[in-house]
Amino acid sequence: MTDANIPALLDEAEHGDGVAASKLFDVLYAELHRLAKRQLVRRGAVLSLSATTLLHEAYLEMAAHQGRSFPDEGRFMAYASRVMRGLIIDHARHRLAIKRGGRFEITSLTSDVGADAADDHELTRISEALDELSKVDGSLSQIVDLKFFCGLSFGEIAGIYGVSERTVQRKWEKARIYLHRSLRQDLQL
Amino acid sequence: MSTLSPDHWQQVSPYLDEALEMEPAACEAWLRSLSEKDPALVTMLRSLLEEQGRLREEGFLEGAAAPPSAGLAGQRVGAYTLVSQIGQGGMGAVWLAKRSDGRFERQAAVKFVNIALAGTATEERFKREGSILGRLSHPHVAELLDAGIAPHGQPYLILEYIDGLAIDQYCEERKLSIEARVRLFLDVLAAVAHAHTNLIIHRDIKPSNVLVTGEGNVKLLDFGIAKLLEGEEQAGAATLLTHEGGSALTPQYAAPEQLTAQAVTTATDVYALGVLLFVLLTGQHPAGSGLHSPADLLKAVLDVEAPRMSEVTKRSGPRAEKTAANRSTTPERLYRELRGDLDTIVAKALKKIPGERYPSVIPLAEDLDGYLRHEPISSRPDTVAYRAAKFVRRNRMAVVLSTLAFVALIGGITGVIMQGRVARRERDAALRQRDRADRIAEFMTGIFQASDPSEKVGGTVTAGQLLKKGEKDITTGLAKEPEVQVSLMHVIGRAYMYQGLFAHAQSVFERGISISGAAGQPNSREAMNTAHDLAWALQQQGKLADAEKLERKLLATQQQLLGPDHADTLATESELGFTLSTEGNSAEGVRLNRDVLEKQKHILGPEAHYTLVTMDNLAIMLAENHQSVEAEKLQAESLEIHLKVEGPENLSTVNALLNMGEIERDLGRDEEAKKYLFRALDVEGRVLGPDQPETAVTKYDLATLLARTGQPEEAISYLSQAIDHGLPAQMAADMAKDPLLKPLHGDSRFDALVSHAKERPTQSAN
Repeated sequence: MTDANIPALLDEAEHGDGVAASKLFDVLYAELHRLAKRQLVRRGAVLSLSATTLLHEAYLEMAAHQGRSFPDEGRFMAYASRVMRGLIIDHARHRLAIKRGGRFEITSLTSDVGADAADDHELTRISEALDELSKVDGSLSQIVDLKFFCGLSFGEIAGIYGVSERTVQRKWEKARIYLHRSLRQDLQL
Repeated sequence: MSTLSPDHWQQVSPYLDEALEMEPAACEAWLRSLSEKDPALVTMLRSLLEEQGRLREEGFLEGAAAPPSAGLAGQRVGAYTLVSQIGQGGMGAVWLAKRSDGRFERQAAVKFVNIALAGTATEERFKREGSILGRLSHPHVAELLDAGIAPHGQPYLILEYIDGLAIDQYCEERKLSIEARVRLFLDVLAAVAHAHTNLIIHRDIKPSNVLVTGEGNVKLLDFGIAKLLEGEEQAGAATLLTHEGGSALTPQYAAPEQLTAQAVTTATDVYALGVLLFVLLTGQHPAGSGLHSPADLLKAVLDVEAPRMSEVTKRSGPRAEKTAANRSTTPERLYRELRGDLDTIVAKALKKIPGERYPSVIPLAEDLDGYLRHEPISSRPDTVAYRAAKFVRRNRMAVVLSTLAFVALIGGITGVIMQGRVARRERDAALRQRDRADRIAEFMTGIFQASDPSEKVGGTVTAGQLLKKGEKDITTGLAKEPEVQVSLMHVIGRAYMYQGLFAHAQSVFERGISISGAAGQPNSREAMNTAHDLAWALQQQGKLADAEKLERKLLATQQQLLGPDHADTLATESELGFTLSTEGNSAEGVRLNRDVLEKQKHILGPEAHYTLVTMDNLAIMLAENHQSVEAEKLQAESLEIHLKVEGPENLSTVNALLNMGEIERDLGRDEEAKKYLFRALDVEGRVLGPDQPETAVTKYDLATLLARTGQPEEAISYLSQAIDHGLPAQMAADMAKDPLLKPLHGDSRFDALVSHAKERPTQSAN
C-alpha cells in the first residue's frame, strides 16, 4: 500500500493543481496495477478480471488504510475510473507486444452476450475524445469512464453519486452524442 | 455535420437535458414553440436528438471496452479447442470452440465463469453438479457437454453451441401473432417440464437464456447453473442490492422467494416463466418499462401486484401501435386477445406466494393449450382472498429493507403518532401516506449509498440522522437541479410528518416551495403537491386559519391550471372541507365533501380508494354535524365496498370499522359499536402488531365503551394494555380528564392506572 495521502491529493487536484492530479493518477495507476497483478498470482495464469471488481477492491483497500478521513466514494470513483481507462488503453496498445508469459485481461461486464467489442484503435480515439469532453463537462466523461471502461451499471453509478438512475442515463445519452460528434469530426479531418 | 465548440455545447446542454426528459410528443410541441424564439438552436437540437436516436439503435458504446482477448484462442479446454470469443455475459466470457480430438466435428460454446461468482465452487462440486445436468436430454434443452475447472483455476462450462436469437427478439423480428407466441412458449414449457421431472430447477429463466434458431427451434440454456454458482450459503437480499452488476441472479426475472432467500421450488420457475410470457405478449416487463433502481425492482417484485396484460396494452399512442403491429394485429384486437383467459393465466403464474401459483409447468401448459383450443381453463380470476394477503407482503418488504438498517425508519412510519382523540379523521391521511413508504425507502437508499464509507459499516443509522443528512445533501449537492431538490424536500417533509415532527415538516415544505418559486416554477406539479402537504402539516399543528388560507389559494390555482375535476384539485378541496370542519364549520365541510364525493365517484369510480376515503371522512363529518342517520347509511355503504375491494385484513377497512363504531356510539347503540371495535382491534393486532399506537388507541376507545356499559373489569384491562403498549403519551397523561372514562372515577384500579401512566417514560418525538 502506498503512503501517498490520497485525500489531500484529491483535494488539491480538484482545486486545479495539475501536479497533484498527475501524482494522484500515478498512485492510483500503481495501485490498480498491483491489484490486477496480485489477482494474477493468486490464480496462476490467464483469467478474466472484471474492471468493476478491481475498482471496488481498490477502493475498499484504500478506504481501509486511509481510515475515516478518506473522502467519499463518488470522488474516488471519478478519478479511479479515469485511471482504469488509462490502464485499459495502455493494455490495448501493448497487447501485441506481449507474446508469452503471465498476462491479464480486464473485461467489462455487459448484460448482452455477443456485444461487439471496440477495437484497439477506436478505444484510443474514444479515450482522446473523452479527455476533451472532461474539459467541457467533467460529470459526463466520468459516467462514460464508469460505464464503458469499468462496466458499472446505471444503477451502480447512480448509487455512487447519490443521484437518480434517470439522471445518469440522461447524462450518458448526452455524452454519447458528444463523443460520437467528435469521433465523426476526426474522420472528416 | 456541424461541429460543436465547447461554448456551443454549454449553450445547448441545458436544452438537451430538458428534451431528453420529455416524451416524444411533448418534446415535439416544445421544440416547435421554442423555434419561434430561436430557430438556430432548435435546428441544432433536432440534429442532436436525431443523432441520439440513431446512436441508441446502433448501441454506440454499449459493448465492452475490452477487446476480444486473442490470448486464449487455440487453447484447449477439455476435449475442445477455443476458436474465438463470441460474447461477454454477466457470468463471464463465452467462447466458440471446436471439438479437438478429430473423432467428429462439433461446435460448442465454452463459458468461463467469473471467478468472483464461482465463489466456493470446488472442482469436485462443479463436476458432480455438471454430470447431473449433463443427463438432461431434450430437443429443447441445450446440452451441457462438460463442466470443470481449467488447469489455471478458472471454472468453465461447455454447452451445445446454438446459433439463434433470444426468444423476445425472435418474436418481435418475425412479428409473431399472440397465438404463435403462445405456441412457441409451449416448447419452452416442455423443456422446463422435462427438467423438473429430473428434479432440476432452472432458477434463471429469462429471454437471453431461451434461444430460438433460424428454423424456429427453441433451446433453453444454462439449466441449474444458477445453483452451481450459488455458494453453500444462500445469497440474501442484501447481496442482490449491493452486487447488482455481478450477481448471478437476474432480478428482473427473480421470484419473490429468491429475493427473500426462501426455498426455491418448481413454482419459482413458474414465476419466471410468467414474467417471460408477460414480456413476450405485451412487449413490456410487469414492473413497467424503463429503468429500475434496485429498490424499485425489489418493491415491484415483492409488493406490487403485476398489472393485467390487457391493461398494459390498452394505452394508446405510437408505442401501442408498434406493439400491436409487431404482433400482426391492432391495439384493440390485442387488448381483446389478452383480456380474459391469458390475463388470468399469467396472473396465476405471477402470484407472490408460491403456493398460489401453478404448482408446476404442466397445469400451466394445459391452460395455455386450452386457451389455444378455446376450451375453459382451470384457473379462475382473482378472488378477494388474493388481495387480503397484501399486508403480509408489505411486511415482507419491511423485512428485506431491515437488512439495510432501515428498521428504525420503517418502524417510525408504521408507528404514525396519533394526536389524541381528534386523530380519528386523520387516520385516513395517515393511511394514504403509508402507501408511499416505498418512495421514502428509495430515497433513503440513495442517501445511504452516498454516505461515508465509515458510516456504511455501522449497523444502525437512525431515521433522524438519515433525514438530516438527506436535507443537507439536497441543499449542497443538488443546487443545480431545483426540480429534484423540490421533490426530495417533499419526500423528506413527509418523512418528518410520519414521525410526528410537524414543525420540521412545515419548514422543509416551505423551503421546497420557495426553491420552486426561485426557479421560476411556483406552480409546478411538485410545488402544488408540496403546498398540499404543507397545509396538512399546518392542520396537524392546529394552525387551522393558515391551513385554510393556503388550501383556498392552492385550490384556486389548481382549478385554473389542472381543472376543477382533476384528482389533485379534488384532494385539495376535500382537505379544505376537512380543515373547515375541524374549525367547527362542519356544515361547510360536509357541503364540500359531498361535492368532491360526487365527482370522485364519477371520475375515479365508486370503488376507487380515494372515493372511499372521502366517503369515510364525509360520514364522520355528518356525524359531527348531528346527521347520524345519514352518516350511518353512508359508512355502512362504504364498509361494504371496503370489504369487497380491499378485504377484511386491510387498514382502510379497519378505519371504516372504527368509524362505524363511532357512529353507532353516537346513535346510542353501544353494543353494536363494541362489535365493530372488536373486529377492528382483531385486524389491527394481526396486521399492525399489538404494540402500535393505532392498536392502543382502539383499545382505549373500547375501554370507554366498556366503562359506559357497566363492564369496569374489562375496561380497566383494555386501558392498562393500551397504556403499556403504545398509547400516545398525551392521551395517557390526559386520561383522568377524559369525560368518557368518568364511569371509572372512584375505582381504585383506575386511580392506580392513572398514576402508572404518569410514571411511564414519555415516548413522544422531539
